[in-house]
Amino acid sequence: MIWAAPVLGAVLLASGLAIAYVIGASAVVAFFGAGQERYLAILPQQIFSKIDVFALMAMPLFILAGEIMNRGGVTRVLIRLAMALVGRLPGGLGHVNVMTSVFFAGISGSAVADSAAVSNTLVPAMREQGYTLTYAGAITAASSIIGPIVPPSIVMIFYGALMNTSVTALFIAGIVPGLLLALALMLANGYFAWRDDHPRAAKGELPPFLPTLLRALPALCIPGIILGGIVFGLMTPTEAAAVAVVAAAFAGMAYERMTLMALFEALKRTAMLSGSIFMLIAAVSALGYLGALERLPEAIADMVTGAGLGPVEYMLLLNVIFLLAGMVLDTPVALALLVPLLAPVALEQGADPVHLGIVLCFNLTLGLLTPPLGGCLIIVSTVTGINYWRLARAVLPFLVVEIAVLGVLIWVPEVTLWLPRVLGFIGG
Amino acid sequence: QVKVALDSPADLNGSGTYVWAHAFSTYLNEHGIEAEEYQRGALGGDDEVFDQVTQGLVEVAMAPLGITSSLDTLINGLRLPYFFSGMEQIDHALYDNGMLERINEPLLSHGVRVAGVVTVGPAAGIFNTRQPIASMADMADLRMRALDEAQIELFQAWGTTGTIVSWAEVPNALQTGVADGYLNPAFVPLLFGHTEFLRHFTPADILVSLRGAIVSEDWYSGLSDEDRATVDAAIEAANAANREWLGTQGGVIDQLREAGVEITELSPEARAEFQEASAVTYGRIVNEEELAAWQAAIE
Amino acid sequence: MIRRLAQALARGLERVSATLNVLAIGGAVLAVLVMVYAAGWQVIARYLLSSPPIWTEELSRRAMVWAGMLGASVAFRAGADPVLFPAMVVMRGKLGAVLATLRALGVVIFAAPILWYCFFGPNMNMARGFLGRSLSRTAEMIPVSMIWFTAAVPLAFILILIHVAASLSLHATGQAPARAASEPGTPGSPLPEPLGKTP
Ligand code: NA
Ligand code: NA
Repeated sequence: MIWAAPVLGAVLLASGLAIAYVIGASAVVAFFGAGQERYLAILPQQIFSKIDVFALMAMPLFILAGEIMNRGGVTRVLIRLAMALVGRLPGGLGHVNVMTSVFFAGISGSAVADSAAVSNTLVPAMREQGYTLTYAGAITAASSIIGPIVPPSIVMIFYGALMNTSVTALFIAGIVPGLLLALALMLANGYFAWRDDHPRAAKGELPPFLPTLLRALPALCIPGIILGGIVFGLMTPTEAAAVAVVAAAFAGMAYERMTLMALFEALKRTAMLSGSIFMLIAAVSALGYLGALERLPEAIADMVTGAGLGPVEYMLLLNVIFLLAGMVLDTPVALALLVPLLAPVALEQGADPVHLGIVLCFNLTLGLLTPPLGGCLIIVSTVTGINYWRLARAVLPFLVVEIAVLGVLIWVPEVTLWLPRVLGFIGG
Repeated sequence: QVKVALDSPADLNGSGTYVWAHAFSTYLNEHGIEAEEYQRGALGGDDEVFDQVTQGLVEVAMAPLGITSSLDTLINGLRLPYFFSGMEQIDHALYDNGMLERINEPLLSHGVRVAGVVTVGPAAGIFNTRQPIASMADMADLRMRALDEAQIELFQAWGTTGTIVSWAEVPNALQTGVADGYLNPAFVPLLFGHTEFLRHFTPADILVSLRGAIVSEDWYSGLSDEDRATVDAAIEAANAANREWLGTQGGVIDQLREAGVEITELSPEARAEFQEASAVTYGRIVNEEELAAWQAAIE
Repeated sequence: MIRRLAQALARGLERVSATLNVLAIGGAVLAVLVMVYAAGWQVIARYLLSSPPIWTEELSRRAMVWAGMLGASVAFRAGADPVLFPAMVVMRGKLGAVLATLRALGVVIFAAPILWYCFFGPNMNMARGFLGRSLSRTAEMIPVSMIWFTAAVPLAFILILIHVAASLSLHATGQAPARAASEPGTPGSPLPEPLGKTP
């Protein structure tokens, strides 16, 4: 009878039903299939307690901060600053693109927000300067995933809530990998600039450095407040997120005079996006409970030991599974479905919880760049009009670079763990 | 099949609640009732597991003592600082003077019963990152991590301040100075690796840290007389195993010392000062009637 | 005649769904504002007042539940949830109606046991259903019954069922709007508004 659940799931998926509801309906049928329908009684409490979670609280607030920023002209100010800084290098606007994503990452927690904002503003500018549209779109998509690696990060908040790992420690651990990722992308961009003779900006075309920096200061204060507040222990991530919302609103008013209507839209979208994620959490938690009842986690752990997989082999297997899952699943879906099932075994094998968290979050964000379902590819292609599959092909070289960075993170845990250790956020 | 939900790692040396749960399920399995342990967190957090017990979906669970206090607050008497002299007196109040029965009376209609009270180790003391605490005055400039409102008030009564921090963020809070210390039994920082930054411990013997063993009333009252007798015997065996385990936990202070934690003992005068100040908070933890009942029960 | 009546009923249901959605949006926006207020006040109070308030964390967390559950119903009606095959949603006519029925079936299968157990406990005892149990429990720091927070769960699913019924009846009476209510081409997470013109 249990086969009815995946069959129904496939039919519902094909009907265009949202993934959260597909998972929820399949879970309910699976309870019946397993003869455990009596335990459906846990559903309301399960849903409530999986959402009523301390570690999740920073998520809606950081989403809101990003929404307000996008509407307040902050992005444009950051792009001009990046131009003043690296526009003169060969392949200048490509570097500007990556650099903008780094600045943006310090404020926003999501790659999707970054790719939308940058494809809308910087891609046309790159095209005017003589870049191909495809290249401009590819580097925009590729660099947007710096967003969830450099703190704040919605994926990491989600991971922290699922695995009961300190969000603060995850945030701090993401800084070096995020910068490493940016460096790798800039090297790749430099190589392409040399190979394809990309233009660099002429002197007169660049914004003057000092006035641009001054104008960008209010915007740069926001990552300063977030990171400083968290690193120096003045605020929890949730509190930092609330402060970021207020700061973003002030910056938005300073730059563009945010209207009340724009603010209302930002609040509404925050609730909707959080709601989408919560519904997913709700549906997956039902499935997770059935798994626990049927002792699935123990079975997986036994399978891993039975197959004789050591910590290194299991870590690699885990990453392959997550890369494949990222191709077909949305990041939060893959996270909610796979992490509670597969990550505990790695922890039992002695993986560091913070290192594991960074590796898995990094891995899953790569899924935003891989077809068939690549969230950032979809957005960049929608906004710029580049053919989806052509864009996917153009992103491929960058994706290879990013998988190499992932490899470095897996093999050298110190890249991730050094900073939080020096700052005293993890032991050892 | 009886589901027993654990609240701690399956560690027979370090965890008092696991000692209880394991003795209980072993007894049942040996006496013809199939019982199975579910790892901590497998069936959900404390609130979820409690909720499942009230519905008869999980038969037995190890749970925080206070989890039933959202239904009825009499059980909070077991959390009064400096009220009981030790575990013997607690057992005396619960079993000889009928307090366990009184605790259960209002709970049964909600589908839950407290089967036993489980100690997780020797009495709680004061840990902090900054300075030795030999008296109440030494705490004045600390900001202590509080679990709940009652603890905030306890800290106020001691002339210091409390701040509520969730357990997941406690290590960061302690390292960054959002909080300077906490109240816990001596083994807690060892178990969670906090001894790296909690440099000072005062065994202030504030209260015996307890958890509850709760059972589903639907399940319990639906048992045949014979099966219920077996379950009662299993509860008794589990209580005995837990109290016996407590006797083996004397070495924890030495382990703290080995981990580099400085131990500061309280003089009898200093202890009396803590004791006296703490009594102010009793009225906020239980109501007058409940306090009177507990006072009568420890006689 | 009957067809006209059915069409009018469907439009009526759609109006109910739309009106409730406006209320849900208002509630969700308010809840997000409460979150910002409570979390922000916590920072201010910790550094400016001698004793930080104890209710901010819980208030912010419970407000998040309300924001999220109401937001989920709004996202559902807007078609903003992640979908694997978005092309199926814009299908109209007979096939469109069949697909819409399948989607409605999926939602009902998920929502029905949740709503049932919100109201009923063992032996169909309402006092022991999820809401009944919440009613008799007190929140942690805020001295009110838990039902003030747990009620968000059934309310969101009731709203979602009403939206499903409205959408399905529009499909069945051939009145579904030519394009889905959702923004086109965003099967991932919802797309932020464009930033305006090129710099
Ligand atoms: Na970020
Ligand atoms: Na970029």
